[in-house]
Amino acid sequence: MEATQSNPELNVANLERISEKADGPRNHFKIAVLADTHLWYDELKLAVARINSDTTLDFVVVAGDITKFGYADEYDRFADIFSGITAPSLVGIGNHDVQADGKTLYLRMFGPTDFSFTYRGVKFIFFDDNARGIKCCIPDFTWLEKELADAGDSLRIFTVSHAPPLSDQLDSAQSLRMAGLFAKYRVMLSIHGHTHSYDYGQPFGDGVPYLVADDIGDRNYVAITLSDTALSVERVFF
Amino acid sequence: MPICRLKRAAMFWAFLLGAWLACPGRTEASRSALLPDYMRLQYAGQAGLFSIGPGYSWWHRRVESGLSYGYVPAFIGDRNIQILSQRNSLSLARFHVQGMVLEPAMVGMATHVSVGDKYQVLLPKSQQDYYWPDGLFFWFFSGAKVGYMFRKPTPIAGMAAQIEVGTINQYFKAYTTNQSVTLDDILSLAISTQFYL
Repeated sequence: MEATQSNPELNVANLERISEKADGPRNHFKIAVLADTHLWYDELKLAVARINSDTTLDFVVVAGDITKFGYADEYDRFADIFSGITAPSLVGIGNHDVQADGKTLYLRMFGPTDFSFTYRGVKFIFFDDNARGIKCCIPDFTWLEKELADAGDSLRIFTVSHAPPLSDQLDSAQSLRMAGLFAKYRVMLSIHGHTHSYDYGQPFGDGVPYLVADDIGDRNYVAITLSDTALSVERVFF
Repeated sequence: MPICRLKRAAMFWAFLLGAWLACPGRTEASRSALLPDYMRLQYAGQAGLFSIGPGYSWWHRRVESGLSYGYVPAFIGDRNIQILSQRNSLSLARFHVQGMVLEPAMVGMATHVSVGDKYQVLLPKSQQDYYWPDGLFFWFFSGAKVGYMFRKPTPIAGMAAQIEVGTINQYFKAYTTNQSVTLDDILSLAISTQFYL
């Protein structure tokens, strides 16, 4: 896979693979979440091997920052290693990934930064919230609220964005707006990376849990299991 | 903001050029000595698909230092990229063979700056401990050169061809932190021609 060449958009291709399994039991699935792979290629290879050993995973989510500098070489190296993963995978965009020409490379390699899909009764919403230094329209709150509202009462909601609210990528107004939307539409889980340390809690005390995955350099990822109403979050070390 | 960055970049290069011209040995030199000692045309080497620029030599051309302007066309780099570079090299050995000058061991370093509003070279203070400026990178290289100086007076005093292998600091970091990243992954090649004036 080379970011510098024309490729199928990997997220789009993997969404098709995921949709083939979407008719399984409602509100039952297991996914893996990793984040901030940056230049940890050795650890990424180990993560791929560990993830492949878990045949119960429905798909894998990468919560952004697959590069350190946003260079084509880094995109290519990540894609080369990650192509070894057997489960379908979806890659979100991180603040490092948009450096230099990174965003162009991301769009070419993975497809749109903001997208959503429904899997077994849960609506997943991926969006770009790397707003630091960006003057306009990130996060795209209009799109985000529409996606949240469209879930209605019949679907649960998982959101995925690189930076958690109250991190350096979002100012306080943006953080509060995001958290307010998540509370309003009763998001079941908000998934992030960015801080390079694991965290799972309710920082706003509003019933919305925020999960922050550790960086891959610390040799762990998170396995999330939804079983009807029970949500289980487990760190997997490798 | 982009104009401010361009201004800062222009001031940076103007300062370098001024300091260069004001250095001892240059101020005492004749007007002709202010003219560059060579012009260099390079292919690849992270300085642009092609780059061109003047330079000066010392110590019988064993030490060389120059500036260059490089260009990456959009069909390769997604956008037209312009790169300003300052490059220094040292020849560690030299042999004269049948009128040719062979320099089999050269080492050096170049500072590359991608210009334009897409790239940052000077980061805001608040970001300096977190980001590496994406428009700034250093090229470390070693190489070999073969040259020929014309005996008869001609507009060009001589020519040299050089090949070098190198990497940039960002790739080197990936190499030093991963066993799975090999030298083959991070090294790239540059070819250049120099025209001595």
